[in-house]
Amino acid sequence: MEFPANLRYTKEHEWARQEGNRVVVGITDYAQKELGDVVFVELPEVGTTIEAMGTFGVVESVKAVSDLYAPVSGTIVEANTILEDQPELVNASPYGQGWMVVIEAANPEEFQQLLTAAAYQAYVAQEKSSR
Amino acid sequence: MLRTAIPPASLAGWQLSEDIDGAVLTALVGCGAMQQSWRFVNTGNGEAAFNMALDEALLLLHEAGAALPTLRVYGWCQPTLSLGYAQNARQEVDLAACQAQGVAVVRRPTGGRAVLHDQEVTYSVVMPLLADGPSTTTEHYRRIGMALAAALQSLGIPVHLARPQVRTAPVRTPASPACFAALSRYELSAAGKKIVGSAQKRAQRALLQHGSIPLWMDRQRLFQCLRVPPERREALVQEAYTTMGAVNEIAPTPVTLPAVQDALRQGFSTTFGVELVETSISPAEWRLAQHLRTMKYATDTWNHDGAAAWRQRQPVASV
Repeated sequence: MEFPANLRYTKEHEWARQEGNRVVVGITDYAQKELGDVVFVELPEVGTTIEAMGTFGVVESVKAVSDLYAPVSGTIVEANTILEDQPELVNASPYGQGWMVVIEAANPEEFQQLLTAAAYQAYVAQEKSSR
Repeated sequence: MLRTAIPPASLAGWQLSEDIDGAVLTALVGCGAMQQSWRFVNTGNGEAAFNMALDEALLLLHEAGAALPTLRVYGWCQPTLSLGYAQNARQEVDLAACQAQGVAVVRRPTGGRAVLHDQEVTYSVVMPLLADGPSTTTEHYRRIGMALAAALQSLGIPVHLARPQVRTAPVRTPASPACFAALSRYELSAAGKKIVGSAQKRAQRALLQHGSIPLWMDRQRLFQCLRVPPERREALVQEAYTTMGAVNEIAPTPVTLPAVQDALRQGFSTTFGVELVETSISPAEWRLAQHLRTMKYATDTWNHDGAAAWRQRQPVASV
C-alpha cells in the first residue's frame, strides 16, 4: 500500500498535494482498496466554495456510496471530469490520473495541519487494529 | 471520505448533542452490551421518504456513538420504486407511469439500481466496520450475505452467495436500470435467480446496508415504471422471469412476512454471534429521521433531480 511522502493526508482518507496556493485532492490507495471498484464519481462544479472537512462529492463502488471530504477550505478551480467517464482511474491510479479536484486554498495554514505520510500510515494501522 | 460527519446541509437546525437522549446513551453504555448486543426493530410499513430517512438516521446516530448496531425490518405503505444514489430519475424512470400506477419514487442514500418494493421484507443493517478481518466493501457484503443466506436457508430456500469474479475489464454501470437484473458479488441467488438485492452507504466507522427480499414479484409493473424501449418491454419482463426471483416462487411451502423477519433476526444473531434485542426506535432517531425526510427524501429535488442538484441547493454550512 502506497503512502507517498510528498503528500499530506486526512483521517477521512483523502490526500492533498500543495502546488503554490493550490491544493490537488484525491483519495488514498488505502481508501480505494477498501472501497473496491469505483463506478461513479460526483464532483463539484468549478467555482464552488467549500469548507475544510465539508463534503465536496461522492464516490460509488460496488453499490456502496461514500462521501468525499475537503482537506482545506477554498474554491474549486478544477475538477477531474474525466472520472465521470472513467471512474476506474480512482482504483488504477489514486495518486495520479485519479485525482479529483484542485482547490484554491483560502487559508494556507490548513494544509500544514494535515497529516504527514508517516502520521497517516500510523493512523491507518491504528484504525485497523482498533475496530 | 469514509466519514459520516453529520452532513451539514442535511442537518441544518439539528443539534446532535442536544437531541441525543442522555438516558438512552447511559442505558446503552451502562449495560456494557455495546459489542455483544444489537437491536432488532420492526418499524412496520412506512412511507417511502420516511423509510429512507430513518435508515440514514440510524447510520448517523450509530456513527456518532449514540446507538447500538441495528437490524431493522420494514415494509412500505404503497408500492415504491427506490433509486440508487447516482441514478438519473428522469432518464431511467417513467415518473408519469409511476404516478398513474400509485407507485411512489424515492432516491436511496445507497448505491445500486432501481428496486420496486411491494410484497417484500425490507431489511437494513447499521453496524460498525468489521474488525475481525478485511473491512472492505465486498467483505461486508459477504458477511451480511452469510446472515441473509442463513435466514433464507432456514425457510427451506436453497440460496447461494455469488462468488466474486476476476476483473478483466473496467467495471461499468450495468446496462439495466433494474437492481434485480444483475447479480453482484456476494448477493444471493436461488434456483439461478437473484433473490435479494442490497446496497450500502459507507461511513468512517460504520455502514448502512439495506436490501429487498421479495416474497412475490410483479415484473410487469417493474418494467412499466422504468424507461425502457416499448418494443423491448415484454422481452425484458420475460427475461426477468429467468433472472429475478421471489421467495414464494421458490420456497417449498408458502412463507409469510413475519416468518422471514424472524428468520433474519436468527440469521444475523448466528452469523455475527450477537444477541438481537427487540426494541423500538429512540426518540432521537425518530426526530432526526423526520428532519431528513423533510429536508431531503420528501423533496422532488433529491428524488427526481438527483443528489448533486439537491446538494447545490443546500445552504453552505461548515461543520
